[in-house]
Amino acid sequence: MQIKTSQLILASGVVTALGLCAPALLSQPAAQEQKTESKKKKKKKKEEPKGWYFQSKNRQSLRYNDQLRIDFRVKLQGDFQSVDPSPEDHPLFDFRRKRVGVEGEFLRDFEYEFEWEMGVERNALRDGFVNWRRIRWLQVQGGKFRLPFGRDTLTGMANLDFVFRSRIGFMIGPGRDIGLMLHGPVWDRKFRYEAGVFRHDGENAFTGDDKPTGGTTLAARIRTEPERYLPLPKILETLELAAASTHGEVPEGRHSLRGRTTFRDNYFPRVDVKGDRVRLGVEANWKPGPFSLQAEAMQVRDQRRQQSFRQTDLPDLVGRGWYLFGTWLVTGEEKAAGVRPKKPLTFHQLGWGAWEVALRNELLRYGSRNPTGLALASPRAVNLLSSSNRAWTFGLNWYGNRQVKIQGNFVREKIEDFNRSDLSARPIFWTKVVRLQFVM
Amino acid sequence: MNPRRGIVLGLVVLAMATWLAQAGRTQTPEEFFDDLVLHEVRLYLHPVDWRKLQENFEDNTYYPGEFVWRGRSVVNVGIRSRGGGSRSDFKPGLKIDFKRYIAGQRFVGETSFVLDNHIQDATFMRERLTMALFRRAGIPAPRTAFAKVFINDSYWGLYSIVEEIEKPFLKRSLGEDIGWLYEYNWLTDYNFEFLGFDDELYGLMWDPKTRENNADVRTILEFIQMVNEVPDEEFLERVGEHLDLESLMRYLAVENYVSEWDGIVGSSGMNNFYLYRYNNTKRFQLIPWDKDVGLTNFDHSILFNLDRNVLTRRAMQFPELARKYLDEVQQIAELAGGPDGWLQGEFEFAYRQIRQAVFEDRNKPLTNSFFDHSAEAMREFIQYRPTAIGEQMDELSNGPRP
Repeated sequence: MQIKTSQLILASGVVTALGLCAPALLSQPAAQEQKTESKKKKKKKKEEPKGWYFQSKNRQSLRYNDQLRIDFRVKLQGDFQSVDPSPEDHPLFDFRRKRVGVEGEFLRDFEYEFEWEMGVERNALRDGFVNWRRIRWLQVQGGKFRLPFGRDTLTGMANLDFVFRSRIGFMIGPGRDIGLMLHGPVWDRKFRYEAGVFRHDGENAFTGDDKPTGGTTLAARIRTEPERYLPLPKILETLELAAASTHGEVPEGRHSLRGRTTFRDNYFPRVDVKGDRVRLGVEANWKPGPFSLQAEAMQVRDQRRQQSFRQTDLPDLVGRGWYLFGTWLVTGEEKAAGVRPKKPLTFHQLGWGAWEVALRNELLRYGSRNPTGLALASPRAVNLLSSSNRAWTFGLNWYGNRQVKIQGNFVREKIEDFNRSDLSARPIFWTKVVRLQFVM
Repeated sequence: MNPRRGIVLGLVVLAMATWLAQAGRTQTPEEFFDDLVLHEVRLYLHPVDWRKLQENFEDNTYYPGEFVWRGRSVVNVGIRSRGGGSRSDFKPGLKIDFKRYIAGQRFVGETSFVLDNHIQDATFMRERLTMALFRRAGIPAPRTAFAKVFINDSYWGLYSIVEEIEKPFLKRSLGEDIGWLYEYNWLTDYNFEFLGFDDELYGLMWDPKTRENNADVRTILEFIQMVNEVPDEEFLERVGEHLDLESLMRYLAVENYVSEWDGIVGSSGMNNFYLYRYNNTKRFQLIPWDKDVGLTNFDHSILFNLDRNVLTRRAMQFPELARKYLDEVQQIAELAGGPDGWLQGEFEFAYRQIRQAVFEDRNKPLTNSFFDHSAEAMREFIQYRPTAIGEQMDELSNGPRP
């Protein structure tokens, strides 16, 4: 399936127009915000309005004194996509995300965030949580939000450097669930911790018909910026390291995680598991100037207690993977603070925006732990026939302004055991996708 | 060495050698399908899988399991629910596929076999006796043998082991296995009419079981068109190039002898057969399948529905084929025999063989007394069918030719 140039130009035009309009609606052009920020801060305290008032800055915001802040958010994402071989009924254009939400704070000590996906029949509430922050090192967050595991999994879709999450970020990383979490900085802000208990182990582990695979899950993550306590050179000041783990119980009759390609083609189907599900992950992230480097490694281990035909224990199922990616803002913007184009495309300034190139390499493999004997595709085999997905993603990102982003990705995937794949029927295939994004 | 001690030692060695030879002996398909034996088949599935299989008995989803026969175990076989009208949640018909998870895996040379649940057959014996008659008539037909089936060591009921129509069967019966094999799927009351050049429609009816990637349904379509449209004067020659019409007469004679109403000339259209096309030819072979409704009505017309099916109707218009058909019916009647004939011998043996196992089968849908009653009705059929056939022959010879 080929993406028609005319369709691409039309949709790009719509998104760009939205992006051009958005800053115009705001009281100050985005480019000028940075310069006047400190001046305004000083004025802010003096000129703080009283009672209810509406503020248009980066976002539309409704406020009541300093007791309530409601920021309104809109996220739109549409993908022109092409995969070869193409699944049946595969649309050329997918209006992938239509989200609206609010976030803000109230009574000074509470923060909140709610976001809904429009036009879906189920699971419309994406995020919905309240955070109590009176004690900085002992903040309490409750509701539906992402389990603290995996930087790529925790990054919002609008802020990803690639169109698709990494395979481990999507397949092993748990995603959102309902839970209660303690978090905050500790030890003079040298470390930040997040630790919580969740109803299940995240929506990424749910089956296609939205049934959970895991039971109640504990999750914890600790991250640090070594520059805070080690005499590192200045270039390493943005280096961040983290480690995380989840632990939950998978009851009888539930299934393992599975292996899927970017286009949701199964290459390692779910198998029956029972017992502990343990995830481990480590991550590193560094953003010197216009560059960024990020790497993660994850492992998920599912026990298979009493899962043989005669109900004896089988060796654990293990999924292991990693990714490494790098980005370069060729137009020179700083990456660490979020990309703000030096020459944005707005009504006030016809700039060329910011351009970024990106490259990612990744691998995800499933198979038995300590395999012995003949490897089989049978879901109750002692030695599960392993399969992996190795992918390269080549990306080009354009940031028109703070609201508009267009991403183009070429993804090359190689499936180890492609005979089990639903549609690929060959080991190597390419996915091409262009994502248009508008966020306000 | 003491001679007596030497003899004892020799006997011990001989006994051990015999035991080892027996234990290590390769079992054969003949043993597996040996119908003189009431077999015992044990299947082990995870309880979750067995429950899912029963709950989703209409699906063809495979579940992994272990198969055990005569102490020989095969693990990681594929097990699924099977059947048409005989599908059941409490006593599922099963297909055991040895190659499902291990490419090329076979058991006694077989790639798969069926465990027929006999849900629609109160006597449990229709399939076995009908297939035996087909084979006795020289028509390739699957072998069957009774088996007590245990699921996770619980007796689940009396089933029949049925040879699957796959490559091992083709090789054994037809001498080759590289041609095109199709299972006929009943969709509607269809009687070999030409339905136009709709490959997709024919593809639904003729389900390819070999050469799936090159199903070539078009050749069947063209054959059906020929059967429907070829002029009478060319029928025997041109249709005969694709199908041995005399063998067809024999096949139909067996079906009508056993009062089969769900076969080639079924009361609701064609059903329950495979079609095999030999490699490098356009010649077809019919193979019977799923014969569990016959041996019921000894007054069943020997001309039953022959005029409904386009192929049989046109074939029977030719006096030589009509004569051949009646001769075949007569021959089948002789092969089966009446009271104390071959078929009754087969029946009596099978009845004695399975009666206790049927009585112990708590998952069968009917009572023990109904089993006995149905078996008695079958006995009557077997005894009186040749006489009824003779009477119909007499009527036909006194009246107009078919």
